[in-house]
Amino acid sequence: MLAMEAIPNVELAAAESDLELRFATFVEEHRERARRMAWRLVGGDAGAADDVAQDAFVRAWLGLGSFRGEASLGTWFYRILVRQAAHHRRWRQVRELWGGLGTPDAPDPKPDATPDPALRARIGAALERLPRGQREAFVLVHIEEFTVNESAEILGKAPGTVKSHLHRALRALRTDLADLAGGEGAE
Amino acid sequence: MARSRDEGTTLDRDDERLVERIRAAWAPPPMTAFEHTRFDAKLQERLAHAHRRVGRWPALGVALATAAVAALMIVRVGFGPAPPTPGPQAAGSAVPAGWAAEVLYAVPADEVSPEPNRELPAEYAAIAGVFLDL
Repeated sequence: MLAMEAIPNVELAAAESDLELRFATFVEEHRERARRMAWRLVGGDAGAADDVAQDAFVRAWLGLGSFRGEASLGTWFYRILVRQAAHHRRWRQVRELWGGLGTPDAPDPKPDATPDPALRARIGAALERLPRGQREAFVLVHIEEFTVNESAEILGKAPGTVKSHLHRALRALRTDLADLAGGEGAE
Repeated sequence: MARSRDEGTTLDRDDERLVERIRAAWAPPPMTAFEHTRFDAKLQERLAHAHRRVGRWPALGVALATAAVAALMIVRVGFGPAPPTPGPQAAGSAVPAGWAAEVLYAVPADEVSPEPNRELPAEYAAIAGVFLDL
């Protein structure tokens, strides 16, 4: 994957090659989920989701030496991804605040394959209204189906805090999207 | 039917339905083969770029640090009274003394951690270590 500029010996080259191979496998396994999670966290923008996911993989590769196995590699990687998504959102806010320096991220420019684009827009807007902690907890636990403990590790928060975020997020979404919680025909 | 996700996070039927509908609607379309290829190509490009940059950063970091220290020494020796002495614990330390830290980091000296790397998340600390050879 990456060319080494200086290879002191054969063992190091072999170790590097093995590391690259394992990282490539990791990317292959997590690419789809990483992109989907980034898409959900940045507010439904495919281009931004690609950027965030790729940045997270690059940072993970660069920081691989610091990974001590205290968490699973996946948890460690998704922690980076969530931070990258938050970083992207912050910069987007700055760009929007300064107006002329850039255009706000447009929603996914591709033709909308969702059966109900209006519903997706409503859900996106409702999630946007949540504070960051609540939105991240909701996406991780209820949408991406991480456990509370995994989410707490990813978010760097106590499990109790994550539960509290979930409770508040659900309460807000219940109000915003009340019709979705009703019977099949209610919309 | 209520579903218990884990550790006490339980959804009643209405909430479960709400979450299911959000999960179904709030998702990007699956990546096509072309998108996979494009994603991988772009990622490879970024990784190669990051790798090249890592090679240059230590030299740049050392050069910048040397220039900053030289500038501080000139200011300290050449103009006005010396700032307060940093104290014996700072002698021989790689961390700038309080007054130098104020200039370098533009923060009050008492807010400067003697080991800034410890405050960074692990992956950033690692990256900082790679770039700045700390």
